[in-house]
Amino acid sequence: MRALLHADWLRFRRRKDLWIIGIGILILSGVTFLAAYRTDSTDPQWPTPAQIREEVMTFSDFSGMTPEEAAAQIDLMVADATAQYESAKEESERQQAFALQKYDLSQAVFTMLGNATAPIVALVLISTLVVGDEFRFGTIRTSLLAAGPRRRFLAARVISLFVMTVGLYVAVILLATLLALVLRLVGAEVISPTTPVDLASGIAWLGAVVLATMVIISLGLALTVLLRSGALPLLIVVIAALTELFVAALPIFAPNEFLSGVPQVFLLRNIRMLTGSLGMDTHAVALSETGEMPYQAFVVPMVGIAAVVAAWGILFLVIADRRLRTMDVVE
Amino acid sequence: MDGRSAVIETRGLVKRFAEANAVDGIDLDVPAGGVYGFLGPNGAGKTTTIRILVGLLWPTRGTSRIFGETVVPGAPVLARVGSLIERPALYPYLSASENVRVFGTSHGLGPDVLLRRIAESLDRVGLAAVARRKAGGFSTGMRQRLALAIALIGRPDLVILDEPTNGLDPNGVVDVRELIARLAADGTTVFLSSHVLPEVEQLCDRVAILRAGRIVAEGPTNDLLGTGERLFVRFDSPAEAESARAILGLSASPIDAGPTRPGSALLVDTPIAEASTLNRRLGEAGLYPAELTPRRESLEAVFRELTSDNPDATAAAGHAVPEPGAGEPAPSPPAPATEADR
Repeated sequence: MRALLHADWLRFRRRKDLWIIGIGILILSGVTFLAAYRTDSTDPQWPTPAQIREEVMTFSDFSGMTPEEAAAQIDLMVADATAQYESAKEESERQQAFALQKYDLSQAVFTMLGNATAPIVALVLISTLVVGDEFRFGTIRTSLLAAGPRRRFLAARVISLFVMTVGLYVAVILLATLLALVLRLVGAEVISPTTPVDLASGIAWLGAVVLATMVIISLGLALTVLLRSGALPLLIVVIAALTELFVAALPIFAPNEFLSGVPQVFLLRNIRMLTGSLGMDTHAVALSETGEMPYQAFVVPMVGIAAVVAAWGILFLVIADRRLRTMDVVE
Repeated sequence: MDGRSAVIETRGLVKRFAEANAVDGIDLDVPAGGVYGFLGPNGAGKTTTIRILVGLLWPTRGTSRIFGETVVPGAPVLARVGSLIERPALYPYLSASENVRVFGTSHGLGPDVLLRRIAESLDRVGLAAVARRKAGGFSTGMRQRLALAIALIGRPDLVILDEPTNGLDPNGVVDVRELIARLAADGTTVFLSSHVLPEVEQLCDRVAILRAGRIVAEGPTNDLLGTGERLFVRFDSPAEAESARAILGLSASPIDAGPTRPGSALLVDTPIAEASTLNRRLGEAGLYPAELTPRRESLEAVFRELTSDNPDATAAAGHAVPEPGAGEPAPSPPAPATEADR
């Protein structure tokens, strides 16, 4: 197995497309992070008292009033508008203070990875490329012959993809940490978190993200082996995800309906429940903002949800393994 | 089998695709050492058989064994087999040496051994000068050479080559033939599928000929060619040739012995060892040939005779056969084992 993994490394390190995808993900993550910071740290423009008075006078009708009555009415309206603006400003500053916690050194990783689907899409693309190209170039023949039992070929690829997945996430984590340090060094406005991040939950959340990524990669691998091509699987994965969302919304699966329990085994739903729930436990601002439980039905504990997600991954790998072991290689 | 143990054995091998049997009950015994030729027209089932032998296809029925171990996809014994099947399978984004290195590494070769073997194997196939060039930019011939280097990197005991000289220039063809001969001389068994019949005739000491998924002839190359052993007998005049034809009881008319000697020669189907007997018979009748030379049948003619559906091809490969009862009957040539014999 070590020999196969070494051979995989020799192959993959020379592939420019894999490097481009990986570096592209880092650039995209970095740019998105900085753009979000810029948005969150930019103060809204609030009108001055003179601008408020002018606005009141422009858009109000004082006909029928004496000048004294109009002046008194204007003063009243300006005071009212000023109070509203002050209230809005306070709320905005409160929200901004909350949002700027996301760029603290302890939170930056969760902010960058929190809602990022790009690494998952990229890793599925990589998985379909590295296996699909074996069929495209005909090297599946020599690769399978060199691997001995065909299962070893698949196992080596899964391990290689796991290493790539971990490598990419580690690179994103390092980038997030680096950018948070840069923000601190340049004196950018960053607010210290009111609640510290729970480290154990943070690690568990990262583990759940890697698990979810590997399960979706396994789906991509299974499709690639079934179709003997890397061209379509990514598209099919996206269509499958959308289909699940559509199917889960069908009335027959609604709460209190006969089939309401069926969505409990849906893949994306369980991934969202797993990462959403663990994300909230981290107390990371970015995950708390979006990590509320997406579904009410929650009948199994967290380990059960993780088991359902893992079971999907195992199912995909079993399908890929069976297909690979029984297929006639005609490439 | 010449008493040698079988490296490849198949029994009743069948592979069915859709509605047709690509391989239809093949029994093979490839002895250890030497070069074994595997011939057949397009679609005869050669590549399918080879793919089963290297564990790329599952047989529909029958068994195949290599070095006594049953071959199925992923069988451990396949680690002792190097193969080149149809078009070369290479990673275009890797250089020639990196391609060899990847497969050498997969075979579990250590870094020191690997470095030495990469240099050796690329040198062997004439690619040492372009070792750092990307395989994606290689010509067909260079790709073929590189695939050959990859097939040999693990120093296999059995090398299975499917059309190894495809796309090679004449120098490349000669190089590969020499390489195959060297491998055989070093004790490696080479199983060679080729359309280039002179190549097979030159390299192979044993041959199997396939037709429509079945073996129609198998045996030592010399024996196969022996079925077509003939003597070319030239006389000074057409009259002498005609007299000789009558004495020998031949049905076929004399043939031209060249543009200036019409009808003055005979082709006699008889083993070369019978040349002196034939010469004596003619001498006793007062006929003295100006030339008496062996004309061995080419493998091409044997191949066409065994694999063509066209009766003309058989006729073209046919010979002047002495009529029964006229003079002494020519002894029967050694016949190759055929499907019917089994």
